[in-house]
Amino acid sequence: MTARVALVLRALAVLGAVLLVVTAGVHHVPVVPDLVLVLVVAWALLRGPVVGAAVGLAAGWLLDLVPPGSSHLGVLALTYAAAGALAGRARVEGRVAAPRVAVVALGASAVVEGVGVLSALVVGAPVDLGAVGVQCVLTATVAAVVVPLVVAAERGLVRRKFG
Amino acid sequence: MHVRRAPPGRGHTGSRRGRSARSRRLLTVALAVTAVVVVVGASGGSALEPVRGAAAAALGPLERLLGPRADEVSAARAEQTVLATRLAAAQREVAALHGSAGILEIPALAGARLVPARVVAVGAPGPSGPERVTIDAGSRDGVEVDRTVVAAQGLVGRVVSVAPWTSDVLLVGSADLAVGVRVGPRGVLGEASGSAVPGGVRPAPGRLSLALVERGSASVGDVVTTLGSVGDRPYLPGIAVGTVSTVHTEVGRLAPTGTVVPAVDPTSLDVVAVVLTAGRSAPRPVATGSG
Repeated sequence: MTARVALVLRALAVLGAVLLVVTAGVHHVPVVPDLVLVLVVAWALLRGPVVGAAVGLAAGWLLDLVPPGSSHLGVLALTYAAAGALAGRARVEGRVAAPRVAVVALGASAVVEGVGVLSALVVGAPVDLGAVGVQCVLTATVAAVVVPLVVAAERGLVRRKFG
Repeated sequence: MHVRRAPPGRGHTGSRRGRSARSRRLLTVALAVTAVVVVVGASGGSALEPVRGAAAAALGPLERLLGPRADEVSAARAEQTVLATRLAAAQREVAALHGSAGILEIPALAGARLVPARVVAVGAPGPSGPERVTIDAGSRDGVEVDRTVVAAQGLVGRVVSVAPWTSDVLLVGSADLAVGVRVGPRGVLGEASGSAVPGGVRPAPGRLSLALVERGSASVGDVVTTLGSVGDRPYLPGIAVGTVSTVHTEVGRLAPTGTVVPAVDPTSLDVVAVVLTAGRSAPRPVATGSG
């Protein structure tokens, strides 16, 4: 498997996560975990802050553009890039324990939600801090489960590449 | 200070470091471009709307596939939405005929086409709930930007972006949406918005901020309807927006402010209708004084 195919697979995974998040709301799922951020955190923890920021930027742009998108193009891209860079700073060599993943995801989620809360406060829009907290905790919980799976898949890719 | 640098492009680590530096540079450029896009967008530019349109044209059909299926319930709800909207318009017409405002009243929905549509995607929720949704009707169904979107209970929002198969709707209650309204039986003019309107209070989550713009009074329970826009775009007149839930009469202000409970719950939308009015083509009857 070439590196290009692996890249396409990763892009498809992010696109799938974006589509899952935007269509989940239609089926009246009350709180949707931020699956896109979970993927960003996974790759940031594997490869460090530069890759984390790059993946976050790309994923944020997808969220900005996939309909219905966001009202202000580019804001989510920059936000997710910051979250990815932050998560990448927490990279350690070797196995990553699930609690560490959860804490990193909680921090990244706090960055994303914090930007939303700040921009809402600036224009005088209401802020439901309880819902924001639930969303962060849910995202961190899902990350603790999903990130090890992504890491295992990535390790599988590397093993195939080098035999 | 003397800094020793690794010789570029020598051996495996050298090329790797070169690649890393290049990817860093690429990332910096991408971040800078994104920042420019944000600034241009914030200052009112819309140069990137075609990009949004292209993404919607490519991914809209996919979202329609992933969205809820058309079944009997949604078909019945679509019919209910259309009928309820037409009934409300007819009731307004009857009320206007009895009142003195009847002289200027035109049947807003006469000859209008209501395009029923299902919500197929909900945008990432802001800190106070969803702000944008995608519906499965687009330019191929005649939907245009700045058209009113209604549900059976009242105003849903307005169309902000149109692709061939889908369009995006900005919901009532989002921070960017403000709508001119009439409040109560006397139709006092005001403005309602998801974020605090000038002089108004910051609303609770799920509520709208309301500020009257002329002397008058509002009381709890008053019905709030749209004022209407020129050419019915983006808002038709007389669509229910919600009911007044609190009224604040601050000292030193001309008119009271308050909050409004929206008529439509944005978290449980399924079937909506886009109202396509033809616009008035006949001149109004001229009334001349006689005697």
